[in-house]
Amino acid sequence: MLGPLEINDGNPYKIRAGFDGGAGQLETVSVSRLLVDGEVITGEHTSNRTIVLPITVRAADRSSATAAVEEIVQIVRRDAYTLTWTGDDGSVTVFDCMKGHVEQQWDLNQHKNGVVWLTVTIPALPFVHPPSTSTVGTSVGPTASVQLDAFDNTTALAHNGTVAVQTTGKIEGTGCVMETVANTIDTSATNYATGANGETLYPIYPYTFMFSRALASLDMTGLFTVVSNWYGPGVAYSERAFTLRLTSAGGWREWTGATVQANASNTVYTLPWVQVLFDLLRTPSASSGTFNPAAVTSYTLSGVGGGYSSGNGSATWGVDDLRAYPALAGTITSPSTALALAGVTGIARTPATITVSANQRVTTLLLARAPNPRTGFNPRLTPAGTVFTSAPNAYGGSAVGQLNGLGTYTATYTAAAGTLHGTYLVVTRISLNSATTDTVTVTATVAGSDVTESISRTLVAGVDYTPGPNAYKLQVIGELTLPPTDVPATNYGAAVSIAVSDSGGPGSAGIQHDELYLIDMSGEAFLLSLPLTGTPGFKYFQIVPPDQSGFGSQVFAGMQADGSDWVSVTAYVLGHGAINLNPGTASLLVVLDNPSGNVTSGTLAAEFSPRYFAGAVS
Amino acid sequence: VTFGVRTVNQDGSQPFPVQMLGQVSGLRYATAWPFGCTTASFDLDVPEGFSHFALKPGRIAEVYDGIHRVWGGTVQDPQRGTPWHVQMTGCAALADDYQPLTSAAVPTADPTTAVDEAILRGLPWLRRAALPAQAGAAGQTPNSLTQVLNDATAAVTKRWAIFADRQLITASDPTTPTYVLIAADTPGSRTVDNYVTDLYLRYYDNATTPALVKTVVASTPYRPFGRYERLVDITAQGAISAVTAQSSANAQLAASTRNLTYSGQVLVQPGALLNRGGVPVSLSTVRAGRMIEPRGASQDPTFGELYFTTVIRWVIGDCEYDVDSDTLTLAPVGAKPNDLTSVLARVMGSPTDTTSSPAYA
Repeated sequence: MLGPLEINDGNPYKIRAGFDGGAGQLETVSVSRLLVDGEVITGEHTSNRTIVLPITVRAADRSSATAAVEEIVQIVRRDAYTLTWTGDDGSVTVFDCMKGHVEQQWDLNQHKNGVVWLTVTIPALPFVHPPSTSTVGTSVGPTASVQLDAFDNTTALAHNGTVAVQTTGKIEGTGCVMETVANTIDTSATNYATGANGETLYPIYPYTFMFSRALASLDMTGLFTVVSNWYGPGVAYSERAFTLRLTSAGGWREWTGATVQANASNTVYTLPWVQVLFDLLRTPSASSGTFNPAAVTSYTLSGVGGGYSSGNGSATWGVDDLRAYPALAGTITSPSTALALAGVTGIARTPATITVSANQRVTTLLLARAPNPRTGFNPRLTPAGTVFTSAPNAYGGSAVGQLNGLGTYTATYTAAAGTLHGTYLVVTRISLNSATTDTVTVTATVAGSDVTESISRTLVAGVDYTPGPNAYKLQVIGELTLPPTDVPATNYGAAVSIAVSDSGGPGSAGIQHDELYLIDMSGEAFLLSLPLTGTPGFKYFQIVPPDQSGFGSQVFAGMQADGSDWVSVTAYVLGHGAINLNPGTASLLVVLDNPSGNVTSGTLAAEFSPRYFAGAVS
Repeated sequence: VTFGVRTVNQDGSQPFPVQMLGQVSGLRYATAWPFGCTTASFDLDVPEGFSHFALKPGRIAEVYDGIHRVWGGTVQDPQRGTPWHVQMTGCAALADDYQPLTSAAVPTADPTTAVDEAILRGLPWLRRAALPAQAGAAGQTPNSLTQVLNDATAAVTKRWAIFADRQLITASDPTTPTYVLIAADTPGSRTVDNYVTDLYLRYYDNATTPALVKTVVASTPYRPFGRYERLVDITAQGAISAVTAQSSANAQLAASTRNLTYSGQVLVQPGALLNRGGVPVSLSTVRAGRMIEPRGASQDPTFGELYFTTVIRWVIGDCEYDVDSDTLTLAPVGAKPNDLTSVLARVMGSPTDTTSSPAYA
């Protein structure tokens, strides 16, 4: 092992005239357009510098000089080593060097006298740095608790009993297809007051969900006629799958019922209870409210089935058993932090050793850096509007089961259009209870435009997630270029609505979205996803960037703060394995997650050596 | 922007990020429509005598842009050298290595059965969407899964593909654009090569016993560039009805007469590809099978479009991204190669070409 070599003290090395420290070269791409003059120059990557080091060896004799040359050659041919330059003012600059080559000017007479002229050419990383490192750090984890609603259908509100909110529509059978009926609900119906009997609607932020049960019955009188030779003489028989859709100002809810059988002796069929959620109360401080069936502006009942039908039928819709979802006392702790990591000195993006700790075991560690985020950009969005979500562990099987039959579920997130510009990877945090597959569709729209951006991905149980009541997992859905339509600076405040919908269908209860992350594709991202076997996860993580040889990039994890039990978990890194820091302030998204989402505090520390072009600035 | 390549055994064990072994450079990856991910390659700076299980041929290989999986396939051919050059092949190509069989190992032309059984035998695909019904008659003995999928999709004007998520999809060409291209280049000139106005389909007709070879014709009434007749032989699919044959002919004609093909490809540089709202798209996320609306390129519609008032749009047939230069090379569906047999074999898959396979130009 060779120790540090002093190459300019004349013992025996001395740098002679002709030194060249080189310079990192910015690689640019010139982009032209057919219809516009000029070219746009883009590029981010800087390539290596080349150091030329003319060295004169002055030793006592030939063998000493030869030994000195051999020592230089050994070092210069290493995969990775550093060259440290101490300036006149005492400033110290380190060059990260790689395999170079040595040329010797042969002069046997001089060699005999112990003098050898060498020219050493060394490729080095483009940016230089001081020998010391700096550390910036902060706490991460739940910066704010978000009060969210949870299911609890134990509180029945004032009303019980069916109310005749009735309408009759014409259901015409044509061949085997029953057409849709659509009608307007009778708006003179009774209002259902909440709070009237002393029930409390909890002051919940952001929204209270109202829960009702809607009853629809279908009178099939006249729909079915006896047709000879159709499923046997004397019997008209139909099997139909029905879909009931109730529409309110806030959207619609749809329920697809089981197959209904009807025949000549059973012409009236009462559809099962349909559980409908309305987000009617949007006042954060509401302590009471009113549920008015008139909020349901229309319904449609449609069905497709076998058999022959003709004539008219009627449908009835009513409301019974109004219930509320009061908030649970618990809060949900967001696993993410959007971080502005200040104090990163230097002038270029900087490799850093990032150490993360958490107060609970972490199975998923996501770090993302947006390189030049627009003002106000927030990579971490929380849902607005109707969302079914709860504190982890706070919902039980029966409550979750009430989501059955609601079909598509949508959570909506918003961001200001002016904060977005480019392609973003959409990552959501989802828990799926029992669905075998779940297609997640993300659609973004800008207020005032009908241009949308949409991406969808089908998640597969056993491949992408493990079904379970507390099986939160980050899911990469796909990329969206946002905003879907650009806006001028005068309209930077325009809302971009990003809707995430699930279509796991009946039986996929427990679909829950907490957060949506927008990962800037022009930045960097790191995702460690540990297998959920045994006692999964660790509390401490360290991401070591690669050195100039390309080797050495590792991710270590363990349970001890001092690193005494850390092991490499590099195999479970998805994508690239390191994160650089921006000079100035690094915009980082940090997510410390596990299936039960119980990480409540953590820290992040980034140790780096600032990157400079010409020399370390103290 | 940071890219990585991760490999994992086909059974999901032993994952490993290749860039942890050494410097990855020269990364390129390509997709095609149909077939999805086609090829990818990179150089790896490790010693010539190096060995690591992560580079074993046949391992599933995934290319990541950040944490976004943008390409998926298998390690094909790691060539030792300084640096190493590692080539990967998209998952679709695995269809050539699996026989279309039922659970009883009887040959089948039913895509659903053939694919599901192959997955049970180890084919690392996922199938979450319904597939088209089999083309042709029962009792065929197709010789590869590729042929089964080609035949079934060709008969209904669809294409099949497997992109980075390893999910088998079948879909028709999109009709609305995903991207707007501020063109610095055109995909070349319009050519009548591969253009078809009248497609003659030869088949075995099941109306008689024994079945006789018959021919149906599918024609477009609009021939602004003249008449171009082609013959397609699907007698290998067994005896089918005249109605089925006509449907298949119509479907294949529909895929060949959208407009004149292009003879070249287009180079896309950063900032030149936008979403429909004018925001630049990250080029690394672009893949084949999506529609492009070029702006600013001189593409006289009278030279190639059937309907002159239509905005020029084309579906990306070949798409290759070069990480080092951050550039895309795109070619429209049907842009190459230059004879119908090759077009059907490459773009659609020829029902008659028993050796048909995803061919990557």
